[in-house]
Amino acid sequence: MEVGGMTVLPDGFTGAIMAVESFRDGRAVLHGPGGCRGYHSFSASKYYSKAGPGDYEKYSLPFFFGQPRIPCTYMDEDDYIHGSIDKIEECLPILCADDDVFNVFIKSPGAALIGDNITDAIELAGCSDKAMAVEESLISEPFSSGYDHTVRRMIQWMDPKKKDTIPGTVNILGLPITSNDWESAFEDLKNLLEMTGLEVVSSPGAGCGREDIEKSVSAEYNVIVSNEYCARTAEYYEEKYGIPSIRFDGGSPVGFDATEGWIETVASKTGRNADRVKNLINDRKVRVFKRIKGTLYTNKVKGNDFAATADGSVLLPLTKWLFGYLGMAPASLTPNPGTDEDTAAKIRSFLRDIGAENAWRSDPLPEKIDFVFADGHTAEMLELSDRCYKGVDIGYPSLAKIGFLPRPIYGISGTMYLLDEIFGKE
Amino acid sequence: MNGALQIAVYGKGGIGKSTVSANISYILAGMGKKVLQIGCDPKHDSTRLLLDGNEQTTVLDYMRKTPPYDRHLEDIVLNGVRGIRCVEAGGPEPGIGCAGRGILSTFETLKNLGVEGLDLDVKIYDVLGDVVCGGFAVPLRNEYADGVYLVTSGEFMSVYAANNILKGIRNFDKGTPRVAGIILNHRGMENEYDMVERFAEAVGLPIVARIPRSEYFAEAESAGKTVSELYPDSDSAKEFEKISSHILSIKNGETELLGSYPLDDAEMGRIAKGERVLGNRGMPNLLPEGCLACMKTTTGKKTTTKKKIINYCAAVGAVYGCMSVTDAVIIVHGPRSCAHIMYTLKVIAEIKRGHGTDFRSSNVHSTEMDDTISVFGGAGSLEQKIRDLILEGHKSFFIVTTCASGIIGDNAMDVVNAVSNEYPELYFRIIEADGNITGDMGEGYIASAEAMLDIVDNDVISEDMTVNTVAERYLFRRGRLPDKSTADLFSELGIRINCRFMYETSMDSMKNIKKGKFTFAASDESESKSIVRLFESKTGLRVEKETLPVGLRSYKEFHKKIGNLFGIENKAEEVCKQGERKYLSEVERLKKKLKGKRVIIENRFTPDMFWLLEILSDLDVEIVKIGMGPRHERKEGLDPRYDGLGIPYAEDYDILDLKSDVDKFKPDLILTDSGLTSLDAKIMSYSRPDVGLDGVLKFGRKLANMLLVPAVEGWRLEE
Repeated sequence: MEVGGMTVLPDGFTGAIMAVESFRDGRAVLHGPGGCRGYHSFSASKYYSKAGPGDYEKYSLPFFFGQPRIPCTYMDEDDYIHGSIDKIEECLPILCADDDVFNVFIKSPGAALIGDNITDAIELAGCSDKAMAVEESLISEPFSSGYDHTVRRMIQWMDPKKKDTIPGTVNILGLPITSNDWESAFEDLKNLLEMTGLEVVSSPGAGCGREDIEKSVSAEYNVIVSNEYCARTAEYYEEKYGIPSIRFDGGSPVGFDATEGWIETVASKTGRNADRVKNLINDRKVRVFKRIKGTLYTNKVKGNDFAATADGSVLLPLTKWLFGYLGMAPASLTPNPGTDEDTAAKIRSFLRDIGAENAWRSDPLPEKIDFVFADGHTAEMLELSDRCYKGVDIGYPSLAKIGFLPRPIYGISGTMYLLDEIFGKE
Repeated sequence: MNGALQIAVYGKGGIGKSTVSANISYILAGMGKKVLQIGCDPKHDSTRLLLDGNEQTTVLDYMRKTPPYDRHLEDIVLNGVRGIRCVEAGGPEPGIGCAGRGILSTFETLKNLGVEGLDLDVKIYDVLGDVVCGGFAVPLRNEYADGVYLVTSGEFMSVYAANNILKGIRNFDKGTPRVAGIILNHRGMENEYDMVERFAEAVGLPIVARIPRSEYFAEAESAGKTVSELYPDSDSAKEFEKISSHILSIKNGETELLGSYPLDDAEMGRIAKGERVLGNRGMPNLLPEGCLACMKTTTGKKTTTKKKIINYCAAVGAVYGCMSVTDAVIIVHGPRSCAHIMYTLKVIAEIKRGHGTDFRSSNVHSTEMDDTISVFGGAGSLEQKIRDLILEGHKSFFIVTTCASGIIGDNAMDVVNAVSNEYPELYFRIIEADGNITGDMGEGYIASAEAMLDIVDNDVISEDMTVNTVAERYLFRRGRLPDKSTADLFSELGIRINCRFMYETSMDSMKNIKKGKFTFAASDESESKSIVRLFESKTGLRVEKETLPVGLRSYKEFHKKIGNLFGIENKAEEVCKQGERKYLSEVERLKKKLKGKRVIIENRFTPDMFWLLEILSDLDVEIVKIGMGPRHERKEGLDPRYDGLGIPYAEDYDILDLKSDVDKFKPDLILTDSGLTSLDAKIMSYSRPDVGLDGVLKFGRKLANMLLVPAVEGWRLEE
């Protein structure tokens, strides 16, 4: 769904920043102009708040100026011409004075062109254990690729020492903090895994800390949520630490069917039993059945059409579930950049099987569509401008509103959220 | 030395570095060494003599054509004569793109593809003639070149270039000596050796080899081979053997590398005159900081501790300005991240505006510059984007450049001019904001106003009972009230708004802006004033001195003025009185809650706060202090309109001053525009309300509520 070509998605640069900020004790440091800072500070703060009392005073320092998230070197015209290594040298002692965090320098698009050697400056300052730099330019790369690349680079830098494998333990990979209510998603998925008897050691890229990475190398498996966000990281774990990855071939755990398929795959590969989870899912399905059947809404959504734009790993299970479970017809599907060819092929194959191959990347949208599943802004805007009856927020960015109820898209609670949104439409 | 020894060969353009590098590689390979030669010049002719005169695919071309996951080292590392591994970085055509960025990308790619895993004895980096930017200095970084050879002739400019390279090495020095020596490549001039020998002595470096001028080089070049291969017994070949042996002696620890002690300009002048110079060996680095290419010193480095911070860039301001036009397309020429940020902030504003919003007004597109485009130039992608949007039926285009496109010197103007010549009926304007290179957000905003006003049709005649407004800025004041308040102000008087310039308008409205009989500016803050001046000069229309009113006094003045202008004095007076009655009634009600309350005002960002002083005064609230914060844009002291009110004020007012005054005055409330929340006192933020009276009354109601509720809400008590 191109929405008339108006949706401008975030890219690998933003992905890199959010990846750093996804670490509990990680701090992205922006080497670039101040214009790139505001949005990212706001975004990081909204998606993973690390606010504390007295932040304004504590961070009334150069490079922070009262805002604790994503300090910035505020490059200007002179810096583009003469280089800006002096600002790096100036900020390092300030940044590294904080023992509770590690710092990762991310270059803005302009800074990436001028070749400041941040890694050398860090080494010269004796801060190599507290700071690192991602020197590569990730501009206009897919957001998910930038995220994955940066998580991997951080783990490489941390260089955890191989430990003995602890049987029955897993890491959760590929759950970005930019997914809706990722904290609830993490709780849900962790709970499901624990119900099979597995223990979650860490979640690189989703709220874990540096010390968790040290433990992560003892996990028996890596369990993949969304492959776009962790393919390279998973590969690294496999090559360096011999930790195999478990992927569900139906994509991410979105919707009852894919959640069940996901946990069954994990259980099967780990020699565990998924019956408890399946019982829980059945219980929820019964609840949904009773709720719908007991109202006037039994035919409310069947035959409605929908458009969806999301990462391929989400688009695949979502489309299948909306079609199979709710009887909704796909009108337009657009995968986000970073979707792998295999997943794209599966989506297209499914559309062919149901006679809806025209839905693949179809543009423009029909006159007014029933449902749109998209990032929060696109979903809201299409609803406000009367181009759909209901826009359902399923991705990043979604910065206009604040919420308190659980609203993830993954797992069982994710499914209930989606049902709530769909049936809440007037 | 364990691992491969890494050697960089630098020198002035055309001095023979590639020839020297290739010959050294050939000799070393003949000595049984495993060699990798990397050409770091966009001309990509370094390894030709090792590949039988053939060219190889450059790394940058390969990157352009090959997706990251499909890249393999063997595709870009070719085996040349004697098994020498060959790589060419490549780069853009002269005059476009950023070759320095290309070198950075090349090294990153080689690293990612595992070049460090190759079994090698020596790596040779053959580098572009002058170290002109950070990218070309990459081989000088400590993780690359262990040692650097300078190739020079007896011509002064090549010696000067060699000296510059020593300065470059100095910039990367961590105290480890890294200069191997000088290679003299004779041009056949008189006293050639003397010049180089004096320079070498002054900088403390050996002349490792003296390569004679010879016809053999031209013959070998034609044959696509090195002199060492074609004429192994020649004097030239013997000199290359010397260099190769020197390299191996460094590798074996028999020869030491030396420090970099470049000469200053005066000393170089003496060298040019034929004098002997002592040099700066062992002296501390007295180099002025400056551009390596021209050695101009900076006038003073801006640091974030001392100088003005540019919070947002001109590109953002330009895009926001252009976003006020609902039927134009904005193309952000740069990475997708720039357009994403600008687009998202606009969308958030639209969402908060609520129903009735028009998604189509968020019509921002990106040329999606990536790493490869940064190297090769983005003109092509910009042109393609424009043409694609023309095919979609768009008629009006604003193109804004970012810092990425600015740094690489993309000539967006030429692209836009070429396309606009083909489509004279379409409207194109380019704002070369170049990110924050041309300034901050305000400057970009003003630049966008200029770009939009070019469309004004000077033949349009004004219509009665119509007005224009100028420079109302809605983007950071979200909601339906700003839409409504200005509209109501005029509609109550039966006046139509012809064009809300820089708020929300269409191309057609701007074109016919002269239909508006009178024009009012939103405020008299400095940015609005700049736009007003621009507006007047470009349209020939006069903007009224009185701005859109906020608060009762300005509301009354405004109605008097508008009544006179349109000859509707009675109507204006009637509407005004109605508004005034409503205002006074509400103020009376609020006064009961607010009378005698005491406030401190902290002001960092709000240039005009007369409305605030007025409403506080009307509510009988006492202002015990006004503090103008350190980042306040206007440092002229208090506005004369309220200077005589006897309110104590301070400039450069910071958080410590505020805390001290809180202890001293014990105010009931602190009013701040800085977003401050953490103090032991009740705090309320303020910003300029919407036009008219409803906005200030809403502020008054909130003020009363703030004094009622607890100073710290329960949720803030959580740690």
